[in-house]
Amino acid sequence: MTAVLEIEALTVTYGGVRAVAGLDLTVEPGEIVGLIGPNGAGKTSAVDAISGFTPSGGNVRLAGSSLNRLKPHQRIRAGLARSFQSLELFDDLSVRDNLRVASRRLRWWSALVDLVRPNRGHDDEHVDNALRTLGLDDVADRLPSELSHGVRNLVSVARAVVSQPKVVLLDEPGAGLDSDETEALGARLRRFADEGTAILLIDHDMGLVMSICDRVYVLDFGQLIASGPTEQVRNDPRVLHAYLGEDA
Amino acid sequence: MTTADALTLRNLTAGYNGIAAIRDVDLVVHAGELVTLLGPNGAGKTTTLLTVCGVVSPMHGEVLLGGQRVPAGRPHVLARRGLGHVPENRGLFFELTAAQNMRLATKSKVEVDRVLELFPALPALMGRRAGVLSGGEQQMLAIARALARRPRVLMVDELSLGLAPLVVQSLLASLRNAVDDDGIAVLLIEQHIELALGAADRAYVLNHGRIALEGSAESLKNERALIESSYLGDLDEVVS
Amino acid sequence: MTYVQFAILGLGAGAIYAAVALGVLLVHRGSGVVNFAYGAMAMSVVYVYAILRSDGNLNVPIVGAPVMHLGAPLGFWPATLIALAYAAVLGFLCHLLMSGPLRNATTLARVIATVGIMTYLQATAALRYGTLSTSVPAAIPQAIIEISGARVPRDRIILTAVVIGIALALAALFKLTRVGLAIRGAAENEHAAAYLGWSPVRLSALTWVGGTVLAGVIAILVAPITSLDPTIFTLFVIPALGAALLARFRSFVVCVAAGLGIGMLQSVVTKLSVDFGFMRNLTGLREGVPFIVIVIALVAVGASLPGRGAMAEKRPPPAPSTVATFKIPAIVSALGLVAIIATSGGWRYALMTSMVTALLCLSLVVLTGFVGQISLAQMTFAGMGGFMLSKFAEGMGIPFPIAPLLAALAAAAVGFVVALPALRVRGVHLAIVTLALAQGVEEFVFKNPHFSGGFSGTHVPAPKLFGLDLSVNAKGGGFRIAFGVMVLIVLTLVAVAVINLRRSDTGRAMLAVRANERAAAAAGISVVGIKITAFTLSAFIAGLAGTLLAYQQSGGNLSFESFGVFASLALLTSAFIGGITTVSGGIIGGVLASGGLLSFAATKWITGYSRYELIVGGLGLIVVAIRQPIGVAGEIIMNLPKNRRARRAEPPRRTSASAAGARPAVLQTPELQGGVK
Repeated sequence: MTAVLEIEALTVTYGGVRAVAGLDLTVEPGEIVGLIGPNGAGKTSAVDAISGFTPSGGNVRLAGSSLNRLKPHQRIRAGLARSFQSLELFDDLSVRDNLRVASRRLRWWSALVDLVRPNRGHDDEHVDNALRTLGLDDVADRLPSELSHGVRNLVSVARAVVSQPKVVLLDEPGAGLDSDETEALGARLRRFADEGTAILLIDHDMGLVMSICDRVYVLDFGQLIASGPTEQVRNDPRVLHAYLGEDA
Repeated sequence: MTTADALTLRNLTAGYNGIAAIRDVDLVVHAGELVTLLGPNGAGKTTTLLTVCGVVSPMHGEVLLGGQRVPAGRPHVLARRGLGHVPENRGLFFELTAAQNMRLATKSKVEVDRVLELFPALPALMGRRAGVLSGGEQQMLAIARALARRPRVLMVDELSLGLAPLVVQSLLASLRNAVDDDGIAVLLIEQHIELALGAADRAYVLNHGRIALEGSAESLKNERALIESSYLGDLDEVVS
Repeated sequence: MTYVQFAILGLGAGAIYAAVALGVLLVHRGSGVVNFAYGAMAMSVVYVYAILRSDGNLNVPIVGAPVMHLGAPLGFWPATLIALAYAAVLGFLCHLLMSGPLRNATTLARVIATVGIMTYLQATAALRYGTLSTSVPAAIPQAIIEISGARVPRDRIILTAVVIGIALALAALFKLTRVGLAIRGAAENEHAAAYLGWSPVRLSALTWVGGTVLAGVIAILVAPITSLDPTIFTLFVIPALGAALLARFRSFVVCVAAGLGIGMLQSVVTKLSVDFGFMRNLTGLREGVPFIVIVIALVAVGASLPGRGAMAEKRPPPAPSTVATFKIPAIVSALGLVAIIATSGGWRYALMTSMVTALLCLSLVVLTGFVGQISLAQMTFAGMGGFMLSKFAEGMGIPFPIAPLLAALAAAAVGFVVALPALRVRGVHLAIVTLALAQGVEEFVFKNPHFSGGFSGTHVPAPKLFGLDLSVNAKGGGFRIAFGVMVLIVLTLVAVAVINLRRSDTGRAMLAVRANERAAAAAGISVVGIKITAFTLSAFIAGLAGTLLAYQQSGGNLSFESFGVFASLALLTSAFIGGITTVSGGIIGGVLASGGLLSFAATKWITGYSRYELIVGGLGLIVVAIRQPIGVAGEIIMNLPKNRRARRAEPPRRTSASAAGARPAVLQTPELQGGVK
């Protein structure tokens, strides 16, 4: 199977400091790939670069076509969705509307039609699906500020997958979840992957990553220090060293 | 309450938007003691520090600095009462030179010179803008700047964030010296368990906003499996 | 006279621009606020000084405050000292407002508050000191000296030396002293400064007081040259903001150079238009200079403009969606219809004014309420509509319903063009551009007789549809029902369209952009596209209102005054007090507006109310800014029985510690929430 997301020599530099140095990475359809590393290793910089939020060197290809010159919203429309570690939900919109915003493609004339017919024949199938799969049915009409952090986390994941992306980048979706919630999230992500979505899962906490990822890449100081099947990486002494600061 | 309790957190509950991030936290740091606060991401470590320094208001319980209650919402008053804080982002003024950063901490040239002796690499960097220093140099400057105010209590958030282990070790050694020589109390948030327990006298482990474990650094070294399980999820099975 | 002479003469105005710009810059560094009221503040200091000099009276701009007679007219020094003491108090009061109730307010709310201060001071000055130009005794020698062949008054040279000296002194202060360094440090990271024992509040107070005194000193020295009146001085803030922008709110020296440069350039432009025949028609070019400078500044430095590491930022005001029923619009329209028929004379005219203004408010609801973009030039778009209507209908003979629609489309096109440079900036910088645009277009286009008919106004033929006379004036005096009904129909259609918009995909995308540009882009929304849409749509609505205003005003003679800077500011005031985020707020804004129903009633029943109207507006704006700009409509909606119940029943929260990972809201800086270029 060929990779749907191909990253080549990705480099991010902030004021002389290299946050990501020459990252190579691929994700195949239906695969959950982990990108892990200690705090400050460059994981979020990598996500920002892949999704176009931060200028970077190197190549990003989605399903064979280059995304290098595309702006963030164009990358999303091309099929590369992402979530944020800081969630960044739309506080004025209900949970359902948060998802609706991400599931619709506006054309330049949409605004004109919307002035006259605001709710013309849309079906909310994808929105309902995402709400159901992530167990958000009960809170669909609530505002994000009324929800606990764990639930807000799920909303952020739902908003990323609702546009039916080819690849979704999830930045710390497990932060602030307790172990039961984390396990449930893992099962849900697995279901999305089984339906063909490729997932790049970024996490600081290895628990979720180790339990659901097919393959894992490990970053430290912006460099790839290990990669491979999950079993292999979890036994890699360099990884233990990066995490625990001990001589392994 | 003895005067040796430089910092006391009693029954402290605090959080954001009415949602508690830490609950019923009891914690003491004595003068001349280095205490580390461990715990996984999102456990509430930073919230604890922000509550102590007056940025986050407690919902319940209290914070005592040198035995006195601290006013919420007024970090500068606490700073004047002897609380030093190196936040997670280090809180340097990147636009100013290292020397100007130091000058904002204290009027006294003597104090600046005293602190610079603790960090032999710093004097050569004093003319450069803080923004262009490396991560390790920035952390050094941030700690030096805090120590120049001769705080009674110093809190450091994520000392090792983005730093190489060797750099972290030398920073910890400098902190240890400040604790031993000047008798200040240090509360340290650290994610490298090994390094933190190596330098600290005592440790607390925070998980899901509550103190899960506490004890001397020595004794907690033997509880490694327990600490790691909260850090690394199921990785502990592999380690053990 | 030579160009050099003109350039040097321009240093007088340049000095006051530079001084006000220094004040703006100081306060921005100390508290993160961009103060639109600095021109007005300097103006009120000069008035206090001038009245002490001429009458020996202490007359401060507070409504109802007694005028204190201090004896004989005072000399320069005592008058200056008292005026500067007043300046210090004024600066401190502003500081209290900004660091107290508005400490964590949104950028929008703070801009609105300073516009409120500006409106208040300007209106109070007009009330207490009169609107006529006052001469101020010269404080520095005006003898003519010769510089390389050019004969120029000495005061220009002295003033220039003084402002340059002040700039150098400030630069040194910020480089060498601990306090100066602390202000810079706190601007970058308030928390870190507090951790070192510096009180950010005190540093902010220092800059407010210092900046106001400084602007006051220069204003006292410059006023004899520029002459003093409540509006001109107030608008000095526009070139000053341009200079501060060029200096990126950072360098005192660049700031002063830019201020002096703008003054010189304006003076040279005046000379050019006298010398060259083809430029004689470009009468307002002088006032267009600041706008051009600001646009160039934004293109040059726009991307690198600083945000500020403020401690916290509140969320923008809620924009509640209307329920999918058209019962309420139908009832309101029916009431409107009854009111048109039932009223007569002044009441009916006030009702018409309210309806047109409501339409204008709706244009701001779309742009500011839904997308969070501030426009201080909304009447400029309306003016475009009005004047283009004259061109199309009177000039080209295009018939009624087509001509106003074309005119509104022309206004929309202007909105589209304005949106392009405005996309580079957001928040407060956008407010600066639009304010300068409002002034530039007023002076350069609306006041230009070749475009607008100048002071005599522009004529618009009466609207007629299928032989039906829709004009405003009845033959035997009074105002016609037909016109009122036409305005009501337009207003109803637009209101329903805006309600639809809010409930649609586009409306949700607009709110998403307002809430978080990064996240909006990550949801596949083109942030640029949404902003352009909002600007264009908003300008179209404003343009449409402008054509109605043209038909309404004295039967088709419209003048530039209705579309100037202060008209835009007054509209913003009505829209915000009514409620900027909802359609109902727009309607209420229309009712409250000057010349509208409420204002007509108040004028009728309260003697001399019209003189206090703007003052009440300015204070109202400050109150709305403090109350998290939801306006009257917002307060009503929040207090509806069902919403009160909802608030009493706290939403059930999961009590597990799963919230522990929440990003502390207090740490969210504008940078963290940052946007997409």
